[in-house]
Amino acid sequence: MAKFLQLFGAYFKANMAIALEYRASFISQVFGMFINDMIWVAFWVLYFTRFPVLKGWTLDDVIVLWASLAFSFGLVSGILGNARRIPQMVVTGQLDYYLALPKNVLWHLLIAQIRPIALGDAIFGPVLLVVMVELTWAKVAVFLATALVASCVWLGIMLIGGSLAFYMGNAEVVNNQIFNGVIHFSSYPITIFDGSVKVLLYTLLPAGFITGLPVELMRQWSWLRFGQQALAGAFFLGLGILLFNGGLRRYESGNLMMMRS
Amino acid sequence: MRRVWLKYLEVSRTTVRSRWAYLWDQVLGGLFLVIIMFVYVQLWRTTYASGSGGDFAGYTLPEIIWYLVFAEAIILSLPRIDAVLDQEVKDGDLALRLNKPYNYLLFHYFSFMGDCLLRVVTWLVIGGVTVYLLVGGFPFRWEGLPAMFSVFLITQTLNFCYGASIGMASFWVEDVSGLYLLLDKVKWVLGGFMIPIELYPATIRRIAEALPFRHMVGGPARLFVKFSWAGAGELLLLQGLWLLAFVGVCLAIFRLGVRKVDVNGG
Repeated sequence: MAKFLQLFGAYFKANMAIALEYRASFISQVFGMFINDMIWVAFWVLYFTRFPVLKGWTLDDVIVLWASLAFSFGLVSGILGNARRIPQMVVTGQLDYYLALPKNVLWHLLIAQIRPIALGDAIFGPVLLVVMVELTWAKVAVFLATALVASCVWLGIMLIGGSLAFYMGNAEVVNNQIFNGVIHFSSYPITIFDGSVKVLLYTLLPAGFITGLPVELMRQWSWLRFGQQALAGAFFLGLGILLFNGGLRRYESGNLMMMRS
Repeated sequence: MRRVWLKYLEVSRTTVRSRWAYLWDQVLGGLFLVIIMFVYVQLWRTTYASGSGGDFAGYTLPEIIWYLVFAEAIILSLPRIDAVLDQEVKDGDLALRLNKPYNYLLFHYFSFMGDCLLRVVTWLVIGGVTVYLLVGGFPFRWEGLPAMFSVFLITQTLNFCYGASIGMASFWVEDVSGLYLLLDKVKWVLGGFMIPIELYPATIRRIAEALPFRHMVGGPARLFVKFSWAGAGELLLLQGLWLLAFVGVCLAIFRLGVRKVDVNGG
């Protein structure tokens, strides 16, 4: 574990140094994503000004939803910058580099890059929460715990979608559809969905575990509900790792010559 | 004179043909729109059922959903002209294009419109079929189609000028992606992309009405749903006035920016 964290620390330091070398670009990307998220929140503020209650949800709940979504997604996508690039890396044979080194392939490739634009999301979530929600230390703890579990769900989805490339060849379209579906369903109050769609949101497109349960737990804590979310996080992450490792055995080298700086 | 315009129309035609080759990719990508429209239908169906907001500015449920289909089609059919120009300025491709026998901005405009037309048809078909199955149709005024098409062309021309102006900011700044995200989303909100501006609180509605963004998204979408000849005339007039200003700004940025280009042979 210590070795994993050591490698992560070294990569993170180097990647931040590279990103900050182009300071204006870095700040522009982080700030741009921050604004992008703010506009979505502005939409909800406008919506709830006109329609104050949506099937039991108020503006505060949607603020928690967006804070949780942005933080959990930004954390995975920003710090583990290659998580979304797995299909492309598999198809173009870019895994060769990681296979040749004595490190865990999956961990190494995930941490090898950061995405500054997604770091804007990771910063936006907590800032939104602090600015717009009346907080207690207990609520902060619930937010962090549920958002971290939601990050595991995100990483699991990215690994599952990305690993399809080992089995299907060009899986970018399918992967994008899964990813876009989860992100879109996660950004709306789960109470607007009924019946079979709700089942879908707690199984195939697990948006319910990313934003639905965190909002519910922020309203009222329940160890049982948190346990369910944690179990889902472990399941999706575990399945993702399993599919990736299984797929790695089918991987064929691209004999790609490339220079890494 | 006619031959000059034929040259540019050929640019549009070439773009349509090259995009046509990837039509299937676009249709598969369009499945995303099915999800978006499904979620919108759930959101507004719940909102209408709760009745918490009083009136809906005269929109029925199918009308508001079709409004969103048209607004989505307008926005999703826009090629990222800002990114294209930004890249050309950074890579130096701009210098290579400047000595070609065409106007740089017109070349990109016609290429943009060709791409746009193909995309809008795809999005309208996918979005239209989805919401027709979910909420049914609405009384579409077919006789207004020529006016709607004119409105659409001017709408996308305004959007072209807006995007191109952002992209050409790269003559001065290192990275325009942040600027694009900011200005594009301002257009979304004040243009009525996600919710008609008639449903905004009074103060914000007044601000939105004074700005050009509603003529670039929400105004046309509203006209397609609630067509009237008077409405079309008013919108075309206002769009025309803003178009003069937008073209002026776009040309001014281009002329100022081009002065900074150094061509060193090669």
